[in-house]
Amino acid sequence: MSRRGFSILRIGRSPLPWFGLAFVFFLFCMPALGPLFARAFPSIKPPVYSGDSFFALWLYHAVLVAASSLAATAIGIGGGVFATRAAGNEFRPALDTLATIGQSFPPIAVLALAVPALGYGAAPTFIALTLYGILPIMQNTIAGVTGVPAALRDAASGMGLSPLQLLREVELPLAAPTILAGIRVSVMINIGTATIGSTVGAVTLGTPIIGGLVNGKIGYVIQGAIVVGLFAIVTDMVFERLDRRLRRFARRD
Amino acid sequence: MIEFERVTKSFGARRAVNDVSFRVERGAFCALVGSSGAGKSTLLRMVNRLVPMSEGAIRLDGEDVTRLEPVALRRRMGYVVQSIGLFPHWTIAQNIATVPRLLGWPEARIAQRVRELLELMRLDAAATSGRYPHQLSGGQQQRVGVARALAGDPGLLLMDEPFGALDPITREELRVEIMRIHRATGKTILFVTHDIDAALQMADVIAILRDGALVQFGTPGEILTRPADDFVRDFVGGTTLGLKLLAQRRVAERVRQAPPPPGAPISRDAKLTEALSQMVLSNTDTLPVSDAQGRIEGSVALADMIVP
Repeated sequence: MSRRGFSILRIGRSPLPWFGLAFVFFLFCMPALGPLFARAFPSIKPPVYSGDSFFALWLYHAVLVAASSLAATAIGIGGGVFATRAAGNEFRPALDTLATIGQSFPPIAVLALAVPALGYGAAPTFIALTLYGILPIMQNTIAGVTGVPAALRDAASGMGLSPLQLLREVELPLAAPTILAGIRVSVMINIGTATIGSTVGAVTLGTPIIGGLVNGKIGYVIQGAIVVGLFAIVTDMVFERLDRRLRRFARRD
Repeated sequence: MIEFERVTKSFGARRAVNDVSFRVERGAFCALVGSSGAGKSTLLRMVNRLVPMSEGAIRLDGEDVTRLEPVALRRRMGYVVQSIGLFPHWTIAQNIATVPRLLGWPEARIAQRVRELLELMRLDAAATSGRYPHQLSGGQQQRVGVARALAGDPGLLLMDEPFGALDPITREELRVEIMRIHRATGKTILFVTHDIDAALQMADVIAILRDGALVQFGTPGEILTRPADDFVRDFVGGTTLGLKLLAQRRVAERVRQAPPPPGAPISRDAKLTEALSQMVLSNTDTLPVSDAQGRIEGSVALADMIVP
């Protein structure tokens, strides 16, 4: 009874369900807000973006972000783990430099560089998002794995864990919160950057924004921005929950 | 049985361990003693091959350790370190189960083994097995560390300054615990410490190292009565060496069948230092001696205590 009351209280207090509801509302009910936008921007016809539905736009956007983030995660963790192995140690300065250079590139520049190579559409956006997303994940993987105390590694090897078991059972789980933080940064950047992908022909939530900017239809810009913004906020909150779950072992009674 | 033959470890021109040879019988408790930098940890870590040997051989029951696969070798010996090194993301039960799990024991046998070991280490199984390491005190954590090292039932236990980071009271408790476990399980133990008193208290044999070389190897009694050189003499106690020697011996070894003097008796199992202390306090040079049942069985005299 008291437990139930407590959990209701918690749902009420956590912002995630509220933002989730707002997100779903704007995703499906944007056309219903037509009169509102018509009053605010009377010159824009139709008042609400009428290309693909916002749900379809979001789906394209989410698939693009998910695919590129998955690729970036695989490459980033793989590269980071490689750099922390004895064999890959000498590549670490090079990877670090690459990461620093990569981070100082604005996302739009990465996108612009990908177009001449891959042409217009979703492909260059996918490549650009993947490349840009690798770096924070790889850096955090290196930081997380090297952050495992040497004494712990020593104890584990001394007990007879093979190098692979050490990686799988000790290093990666202990580095997981740090790696997840890297993935979170990467996904957040990609959600934002994917909107710019519409400039090179990818269909995303950036399509109404870019279209609105080009044609001076500021209402479309606001509509796209609201959905992208809420998508980013909800995703970030989901990551925060994942992070808390990963750190569960560190809680104190 | 473990045998060190002309074991040498060089780091560049420096020899961290230099031409060390000795032999520890099966079931013996051997302390490796020396100041920091003497090479005792390096010597220990060559046994489980965490440090590769430069020259010489270490044989485990006649088998050269360098011929064995390192991972398989390490699962045959328990390893306890000063930093304890419990896995912070695993519960106490999961930590203890590490080696049995690697060895592929069935679940039920692992659970049974974890319970046994918690009991052996005098930890409350119900209260601790589901907890995480940071929820335990330092002393409890090292008890878990020892339990984890014993989990795979290895014949040999390697302990590298295991109680160095604990407070003196907890350290003493755990020393007594290790001696009890040594008696109960008959494991061969190699125990690295810089504390000669701990070594004298716990070990059957002591290897004293200095600048990588073995300066003396022998029983506590041998080291106290016949120190190899001035370094060993100073190291084991200098001016208090006589008292440490008394602490090694029991009243029972010096009992004589003489009419007991009046006064409070001392147990035949007491150390000679306790007898000496009681003589000083009661201002006498002979004490009655009682046996395990409390009956007076004879007496002990100061003159008999001071003969070697």
